[in-house]
Amino acid sequence: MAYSNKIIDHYNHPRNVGSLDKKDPKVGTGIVGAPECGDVMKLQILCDDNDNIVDAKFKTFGCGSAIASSSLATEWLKGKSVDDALQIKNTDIVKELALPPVKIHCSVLAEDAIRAAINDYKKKRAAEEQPADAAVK
Amino acid sequence: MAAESRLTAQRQHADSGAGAGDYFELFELPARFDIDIALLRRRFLELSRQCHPDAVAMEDAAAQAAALATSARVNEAYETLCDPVRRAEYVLRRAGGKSAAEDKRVPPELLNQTLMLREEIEEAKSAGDQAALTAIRKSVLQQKGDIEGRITELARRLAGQADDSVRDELRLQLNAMKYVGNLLAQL
Repeated sequence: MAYSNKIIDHYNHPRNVGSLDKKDPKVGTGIVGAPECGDVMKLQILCDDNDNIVDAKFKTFGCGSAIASSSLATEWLKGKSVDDALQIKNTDIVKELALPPVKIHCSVLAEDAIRAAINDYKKKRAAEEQPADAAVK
Repeated sequence: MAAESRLTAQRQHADSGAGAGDYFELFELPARFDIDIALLRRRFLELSRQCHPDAVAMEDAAAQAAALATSARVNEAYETLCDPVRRAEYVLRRAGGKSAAEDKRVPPELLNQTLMLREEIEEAKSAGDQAALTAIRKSVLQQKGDIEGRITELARRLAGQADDSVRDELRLQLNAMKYVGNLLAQL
């Protein structure tokens, strides 16, 4: 199977590998897996006060395409608002990396991870606002 | 049915486009999780002999190609039914259960735990900490055994009832097995 240079580059030099503080209310964490292959992916975002993503980190235990997909996802996330980030589709990742058909599920995993991280962040924000609202009432 | 006509029937079945044929039927075994492994092995050897290249060496190219295709399917069927986890997966799919791609759920905390263990394994490996690796391996093997036990129990229950909850729970455990299997491959 021929892999694109972009996949190989992201695999050899993955961007934004690491972890952010899971307990930070500004951090959203998504942990997803692909049971077909047993790959696990953790993707985290750090947002500013205006819901803009200022940092993103990932940790992926899986094949090269899963690593490249999540590495690319973190690059794309930085600088986006969380709502814009939700527009990232797995097909964008497939196109950018020229993923072969058997590896499309890796891009799906990355999209799932983005959504899970944003959901976690939004949930935290909602929980933060809840007590404040209650105090006003 | 004689083994030879059984193969022909299977071939026709496959040719008719009705699917690859049923693995249990292929080996003339009752379609359930608990099978007679010794009998499976005997029937496998018998079928393998018939589609062995030597057995069809005098026939035309089409017959040889057909024998090769049959041989691949007999091997695949045998490997599937031999392995309890793969057999449970097969029994589940046969009973209308979802595939791993269709239902990715896993028991709660399993992904978290898998991630943590992968990190621990990486650390122990880079530190050359054999004792830590042995300890992790022991606990993962224990977990694998637990999941296998649950898979066996659920796959047995599958035969009697077409209950969604049993199918879903079996899917969950089979998914878990995949992650645990990958963990073990690192150790």
